[in-house]
Amino acid sequence: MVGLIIAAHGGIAAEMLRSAASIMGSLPQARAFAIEPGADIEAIHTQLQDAVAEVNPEGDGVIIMTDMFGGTPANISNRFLKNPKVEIINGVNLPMVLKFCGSRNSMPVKTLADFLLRYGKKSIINTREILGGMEG
Amino acid sequence: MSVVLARVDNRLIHGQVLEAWVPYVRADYILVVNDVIAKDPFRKQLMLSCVPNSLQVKICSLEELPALSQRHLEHKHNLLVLFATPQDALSAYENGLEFPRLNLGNMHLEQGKHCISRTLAVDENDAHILDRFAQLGVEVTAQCVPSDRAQYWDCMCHDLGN
Repeated sequence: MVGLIIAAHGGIAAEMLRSAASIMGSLPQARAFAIEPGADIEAIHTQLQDAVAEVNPEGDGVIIMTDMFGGTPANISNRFLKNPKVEIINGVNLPMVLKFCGSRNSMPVKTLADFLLRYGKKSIINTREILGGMEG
Repeated sequence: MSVVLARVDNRLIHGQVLEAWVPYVRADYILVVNDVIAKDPFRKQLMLSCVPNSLQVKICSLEELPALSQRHLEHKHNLLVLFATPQDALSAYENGLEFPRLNLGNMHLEQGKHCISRTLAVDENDAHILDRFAQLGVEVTAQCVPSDRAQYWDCMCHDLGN
């Protein structure tokens, strides 16, 4: 089973896991990280390192989802790329997390990351566009 | 046609249904039986647009249901049926859409209803209808998402002292 870490500014990572759990049920091997203003970066790096090991007991790999490429949560996460079993997706959204829950057992971590990236992008939708002028 | 899930959910098609129940029961066809949505082209279009292409979906009114059951739903589908209320579920059942079990997902709190679980609120009329299903031999259970423990209506109303 591929492990999950969501790392983001403030509390949205934990809330996103909570929302996913309310739809998909309990989410094992998943951790949320809140990076608060003024947080000690090296301390967070160490905690993340422990979490990466903790959510990956079978060695199937870990996906780290961050809120924004270039932000501190992403910048700290990037250091884990030395581990070939870690994939990082920036710009987490709820559909991506839900789809992760349903597919984490069915593909290797790299394939899963590619799939979730495409799925997450496809889930960003302007409603007016898909309705094709039907409204009003 | 095999009804793999009949569910009362006043949100009809939403995240819990699409992401959790559809894969869990391996549904390939969603049928929404709801007069309000069926008669409002805009809301109907909005609801249809939420469903991925891998699933077939139909939204019909109670009135349209019997014809639809005969024409479309006969042989091939693993059907997931959604109703907003127990009343709609009973009307559909009495009009020939039979199912062995009825799942209670979301019935939100309104004036005059009381909570029987985190996501379910019923009034006396709802309770009568659910009792009626039990008499008809339909197993009524409350289970919001598949990972929740199913609670049996018989036991729940016993707890309520009914």
